[in-house]
Amino acid sequence: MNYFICIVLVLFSATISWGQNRAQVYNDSALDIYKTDSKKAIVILEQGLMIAEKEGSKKEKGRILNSLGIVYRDLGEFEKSKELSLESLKNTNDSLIVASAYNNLGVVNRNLGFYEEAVSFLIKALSIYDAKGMMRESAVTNNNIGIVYSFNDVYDKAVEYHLKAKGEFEKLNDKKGASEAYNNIAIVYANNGDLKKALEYFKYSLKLESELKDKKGVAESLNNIGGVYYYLEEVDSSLVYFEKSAELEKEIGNYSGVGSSYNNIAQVLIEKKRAVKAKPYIDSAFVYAQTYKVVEDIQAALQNYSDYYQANNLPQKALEYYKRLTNFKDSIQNLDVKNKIAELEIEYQTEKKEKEILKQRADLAEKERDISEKNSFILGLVGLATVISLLGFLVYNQQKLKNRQLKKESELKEALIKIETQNRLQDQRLRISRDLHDNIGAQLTFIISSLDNLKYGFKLPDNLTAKLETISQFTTATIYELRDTIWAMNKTEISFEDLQSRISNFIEKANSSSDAITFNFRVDQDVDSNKLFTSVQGMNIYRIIQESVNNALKYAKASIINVQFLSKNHQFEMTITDNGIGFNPDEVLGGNGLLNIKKRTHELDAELEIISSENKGTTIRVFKILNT
Amino acid sequence: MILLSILYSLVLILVMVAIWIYMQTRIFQKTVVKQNEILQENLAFNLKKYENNTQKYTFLESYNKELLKKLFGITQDLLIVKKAILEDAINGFL
Repeated sequence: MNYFICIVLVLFSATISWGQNRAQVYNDSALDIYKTDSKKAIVILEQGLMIAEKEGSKKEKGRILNSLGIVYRDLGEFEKSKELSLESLKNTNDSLIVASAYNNLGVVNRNLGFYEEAVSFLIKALSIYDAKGMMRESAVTNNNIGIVYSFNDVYDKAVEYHLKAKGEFEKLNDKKGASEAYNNIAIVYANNGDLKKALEYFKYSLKLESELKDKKGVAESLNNIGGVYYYLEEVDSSLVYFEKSAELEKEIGNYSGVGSSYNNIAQVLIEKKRAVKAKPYIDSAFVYAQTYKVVEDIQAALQNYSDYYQANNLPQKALEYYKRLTNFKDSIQNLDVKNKIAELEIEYQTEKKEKEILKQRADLAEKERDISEKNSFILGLVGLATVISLLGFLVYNQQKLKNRQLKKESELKEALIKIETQNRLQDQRLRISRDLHDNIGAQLTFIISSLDNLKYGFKLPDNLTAKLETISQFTTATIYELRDTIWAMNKTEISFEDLQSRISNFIEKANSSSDAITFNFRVDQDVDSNKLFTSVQGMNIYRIIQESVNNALKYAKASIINVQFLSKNHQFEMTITDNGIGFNPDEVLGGNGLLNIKKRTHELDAELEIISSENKGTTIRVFKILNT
Repeated sequence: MILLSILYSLVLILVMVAIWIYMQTRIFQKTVVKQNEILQENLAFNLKKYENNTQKYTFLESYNKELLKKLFGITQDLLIVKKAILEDAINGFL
């Protein structure tokens, strides 16, 4: 049951979060490609925005608006970027999206020249990143703040923030980031005119790039250092670094870079009156620039040729190259226009096709969404049907159980009423019987009293007196028997204590007319002393003991009588022993007393064993008495 | 989307109702078992009483017969004594 509930809850939450996830996927894929294809990224983001709006997810809308802002910033459309990021802030409270929006607003404002606003937004972004412990984002933001200060010529602050960024990059072991931070610091110092400091930080950057084995980075750093040496007028050092840079560019196959470095070398050599050495560098630079069609380098090479020939007192050659330079610049302008038109045409066509593709994709996505919604709906309906079936089953089961229980209860109650009626009837019968016995008891007592009066009041012949004595004794015995029966029938259950006290009373009465007798009543430890017999069982046991004791006193002349109760295999055993003269069982088996004992044993469903021999006492063993 | 939300909410509510019914059934089962136990105990007690009473009744039936025989014997003897006394008295008178 619990398992089923879990599945339903998961399905429910998964359906709700599906829309959000899709918008986020659009956002992430756009951010992956915006550096290389910003227009495609914009189209994807606009699709994502539509989904977010349709799903009513403000968070995703805010995220996508901010991402659009970032892409437009990259395209140089700062005002639009600013608007989008501000709109994003209105839509979401998600701290990470808000921080990203602040960061974007900071960079955009910096580019728009609103430096105070830029710093304000960047500091807000920084405080969120710091609070969240996002060190990388914090380092990037510190770098951005440093750049803003650098633009405002607040060099101390700029260096402070760049150093903070550097520290964070180092903690993250991000050498590339640290190298960029060093570069920024070096640029700040260079702008401030502190070329030695600038040189120092460019060298730090160079060291990190070397550790990273990033040859392109190393080549750029060498070029930067070469430039600083050039401004420091350390021409030789400058040339060494430019040459190293050119070598590395050659190694990595960046020949346009090689051309640029050669142009630098040539320029330095011409300016420092070493024009003779400059010619091969200019030639190579010109060849590379033409091969790779790097316009700036072609122009620099033509300029260097012109300067070179002028330095060598060849004004005509210098003029010729100067003219070629001018013509090239003109042609470039024309070429630029043509290229731009062609590029625009291609761009237009590409964009058109991309739009078509995107439209198809959007249609597909829409269909996918519809199918997914339908599936969710079917799943929901199946779930509903299952739950209703389950509910029906449970209700049916409950009713079935109730009916069964009611039936059982009524059966039990009926049986109970029947048995109670029977019990009441029997109780009544027993009460009548008890009343009858009481009445008979009183009548018998009256008879005895009358007989006694007759005996002592009249002078009767001896034979009649003896007869009256016999009747009186018989009546007395009958009264005792009746009293015992009334005693047993008045009790619901009879305990060992009841039996012991009743027999003790009997022995006491019998003892008064003969010598003293020792009577022992013992219940074995194995027998539960709280054991209770039914009144009939108790009556029969009592009669057996009474008969045995009577025989022991009357015929065996015993002085010690022992009654013992044992327990064997959950059945009782009773043993009555005496130390009397005993008898021969074969001769006296037909006696009334023994017949009575047998009859009572039979009524107890037990077995009887009588062991006796002359002068060796008697043992009467009643065993296998059922444990009720 | 709204329709889906309503559908899943309905499913959730019905699941809750099913759990509630299940719990109610369990509680009912426990109560009924207890009631039945009480009834069974009562019945067992009454059956035992019935058995005891039957035993007593059987015993008393035979005992009463025996007792009547004895009473008859006593009456018979008393009548014989009465007869003897009367005979003796008549003989003395004659």
